[in-house]
Amino acid sequence: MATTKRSLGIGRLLIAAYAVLALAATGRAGYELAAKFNEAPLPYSLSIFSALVYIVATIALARSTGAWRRVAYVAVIIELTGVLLIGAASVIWPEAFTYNGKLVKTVWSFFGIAYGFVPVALPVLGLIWLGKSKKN
Amino acid sequence: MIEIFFQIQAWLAVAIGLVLIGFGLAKRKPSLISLGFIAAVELGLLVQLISSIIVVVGGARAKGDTIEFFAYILVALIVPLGAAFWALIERTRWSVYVLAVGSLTVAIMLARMHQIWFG
Repeated sequence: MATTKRSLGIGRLLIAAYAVLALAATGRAGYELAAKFNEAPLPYSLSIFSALVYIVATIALARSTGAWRRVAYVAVIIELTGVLLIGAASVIWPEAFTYNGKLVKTVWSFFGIAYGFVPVALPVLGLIWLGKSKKN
Repeated sequence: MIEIFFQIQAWLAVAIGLVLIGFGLAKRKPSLISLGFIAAVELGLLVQLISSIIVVVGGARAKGDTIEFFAYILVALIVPLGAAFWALIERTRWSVYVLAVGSLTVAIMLARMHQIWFG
């Protein structure tokens, strides 16, 4: 891992938190894809998508120089948009996530409640950190 | 999954996570002590894995999905390894917090495993 000055310090914790979420989302998506993808394609596709976004965000934040910085911004913004849109959709329009009378959840459902709202907090912290580290 | 092993390890992982946060606040760098703590968490997971394989071979099944249960153990086993690896290449006090995050993550994953196994 690059040990530029920017990536040191408290940003390390942010990257660690991203790595944990990437692992959690990837594990979940992998299991859903392998075991029961056909049961609920839309929510499970969203799980896979969110896992990929978290992986990209983790790597980009860990590098966070030059082009990786832009990648980090894009990934974090996609993530924030995703959690807000899907979070809102899961509240307003639960039928879209209902299969055989059962509500199927994604990482982003109800703003990430199953993950202690970490999915909605992390992109905000990510944007703050990206903004602050630019000034240094 | 065996209840008593779960209880011991879940509380151990929480306690170790809190002690490591204390170490971080004391601005300690990663040491043999903090790496030993995370190694204990990893060892506990290996006990979970082996004891769970034994009870499954003996005919027991999770109330939820047994495959999902084992997927959780396997992913959980990566967490302390990743945190320890990080602490070894970056010897700053922030890595002690990373170890703490790793230990608490394992505790959360254990709670989820308990839910899958016992329903």
